Amino acid sequence: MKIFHQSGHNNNWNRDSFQEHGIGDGIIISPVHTLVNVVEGFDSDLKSHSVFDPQFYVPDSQKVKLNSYHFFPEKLLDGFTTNDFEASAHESAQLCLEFQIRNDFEFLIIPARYHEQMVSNFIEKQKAFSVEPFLSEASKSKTKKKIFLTLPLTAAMLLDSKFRVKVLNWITSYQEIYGIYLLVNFDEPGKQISNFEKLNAYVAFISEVRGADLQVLCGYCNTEGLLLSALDVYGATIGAYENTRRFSIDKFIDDDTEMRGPAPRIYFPKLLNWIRYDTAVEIRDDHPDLWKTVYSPTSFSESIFEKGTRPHFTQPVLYHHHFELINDQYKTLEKIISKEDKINELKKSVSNALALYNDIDNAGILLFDGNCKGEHLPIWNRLLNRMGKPLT
Amino acid sequence: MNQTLLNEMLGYLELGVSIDQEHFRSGQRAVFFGKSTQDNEVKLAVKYCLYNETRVARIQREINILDGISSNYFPKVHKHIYVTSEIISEIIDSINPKTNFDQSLRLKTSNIKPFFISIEEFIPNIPWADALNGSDKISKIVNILLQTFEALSLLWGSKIVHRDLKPPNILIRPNLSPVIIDLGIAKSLKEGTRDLTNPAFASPCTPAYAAPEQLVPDSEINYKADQFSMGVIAFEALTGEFPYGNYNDIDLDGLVTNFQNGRLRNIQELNQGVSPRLASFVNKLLNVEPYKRFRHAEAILEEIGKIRSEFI
Repeated sequence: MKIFHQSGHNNNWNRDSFQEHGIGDGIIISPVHTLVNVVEGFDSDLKSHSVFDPQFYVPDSQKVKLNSYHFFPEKLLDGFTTNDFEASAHESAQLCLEFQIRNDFEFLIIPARYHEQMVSNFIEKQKAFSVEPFLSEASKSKTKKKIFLTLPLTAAMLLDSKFRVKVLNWITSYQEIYGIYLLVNFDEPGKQISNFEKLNAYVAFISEVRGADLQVLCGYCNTEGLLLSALDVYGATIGAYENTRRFSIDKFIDDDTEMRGPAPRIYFPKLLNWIRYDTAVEIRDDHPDLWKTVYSPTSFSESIFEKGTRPHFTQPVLYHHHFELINDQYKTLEKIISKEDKINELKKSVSNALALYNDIDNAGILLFDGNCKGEHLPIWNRLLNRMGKPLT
Repeated sequence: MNQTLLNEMLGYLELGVSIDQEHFRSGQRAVFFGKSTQDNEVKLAVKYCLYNETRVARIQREINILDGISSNYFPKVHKHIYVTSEIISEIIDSINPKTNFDQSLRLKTSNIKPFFISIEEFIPNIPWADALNGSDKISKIVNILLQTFEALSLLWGSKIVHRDLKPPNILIRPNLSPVIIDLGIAKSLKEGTRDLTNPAFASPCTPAYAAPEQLVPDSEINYKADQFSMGVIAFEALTGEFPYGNYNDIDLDGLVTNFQNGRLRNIQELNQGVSPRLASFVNKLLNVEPYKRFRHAEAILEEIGKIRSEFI
């Protein structure tokens, strides 16, 4: 299982993490955050381990960096309309593939459009918009690179069994596609997926895709990505800012360069969650024994605590700390061979995290931020129990 | 057009073939067997079809597909021609009534309409029952399956789906190698070609061997439909029965109901000689949902290779 950095704003942090700290297996390059000439200038070793997500999700996006790519629909047509694009879809596909092949990325990604609603002709639309033009152009190019098809879905789509089967029949109908690049907008109010049905539908869908002999690269993963390691997926992602750990199209529409300053959080792998920095300091200073059991140090986190000043969320250290630790968690799980053993290990982690949350509670520490609580863990536990049984 | 008149036309057209046997006739289509006029030992198949835009387009499509595939698993098309009214008039006018009065009169009064003709390789073949005769029946079936899937991988690789696989469309040569024929309703899956079944169940297929998606409206047909048909052929060859019931007994509604309820008969109960691996392979081909069938021809060939090794 490969771990890709889902790059976003400040993607030099991802590159530093991969190239300098040896974290992850490559990067999913985000053109909405990276100008074309910058991508062209990346060193060849980085590119050969990375992939380029063309990000056609919002084809009329006005984002400047996205429009530096001449194959992006809005740029190509000098104003995207669905009808006009029909005549240019092949040109866009040919240019985009040529770009991906020329830059020698690890594999090719066929983009897709994001549909918020479960439109009845979803498949026909995706086929006409990008899938068939790209496959046709890929065939002409005689490329030997593996091809992944982007599949942006919503949780509602996954929960609709008829729709799910239609999509499964469609994506498995191309012999030349190696895998899907799966992105799901869970539309969850909190930072973790706390709806069992949604998470269960996600896991079931991935299992079905794998059962159909198609690879799955799960994009925009938060900590729930750890569960996917038991599903024999091709890859999962790690990301810095929250909008790289949860898929939505906001960043293709809104300006995300001047984000509101959230309270800084620090990743606690033993809790399978992020905790507010202030709470971490409280545990560290007031409950040193508990700190020893709950905290996982890295050189990055140690540097923060040594400094003693509250880190700003725009500084990379918190994210480097996260990258290192979650990457370790993935790699530990990867070493376990059988699915059953992986599930047991994950269940053990969940159980351990719940016990630690209990210890925090018993110590009288108030996790007033709901996102830092372990409310997702019982859901994970139920899901892991379900994953241990055959699909029904 | 009768055999004599067609032979006469073939002579005028200088197609190098002379027919001597009508093999099949249906409406305005007919298949004849004949010999090369250059070499009497070379047998040929002659397909005749009265001109009709749809029908000729279908034959033309088949010829185009066969032209693009060079394999012993498919018949070779040597020549084909659309004989227009102008060509027919030219032929009739070229006959001098003074020297060939009877011939000229016969052609003029025969009211010959435009037609399409193709000259193809003649495939010597034996009935399936004879081919599978003997104690090594299962091994023979597996070998035929392997070769048929090798043939289909060529079609699928060219993004073509046959859509009407059934024993009569898979000829078995005396050396037990298969030849796939009748690609008249084969369909290109290349971009832009939509292929939805007709709401009135006019989908070109043979219901007894058709995949579930071929029998319901607005379904998309791809190479996985061929996998299902091959599953039915394999099941029938191994057990003498149909996997979801016999269409002739239970009709379309019964068949669709059995598909919906997943009433796949147990192949090993019907033939205890079928190994678990072979049973699992055939069952995978026969999954009602296409996504549960094989995704690659390579995966199918690999699996049959493993099944075949059970017999060595």
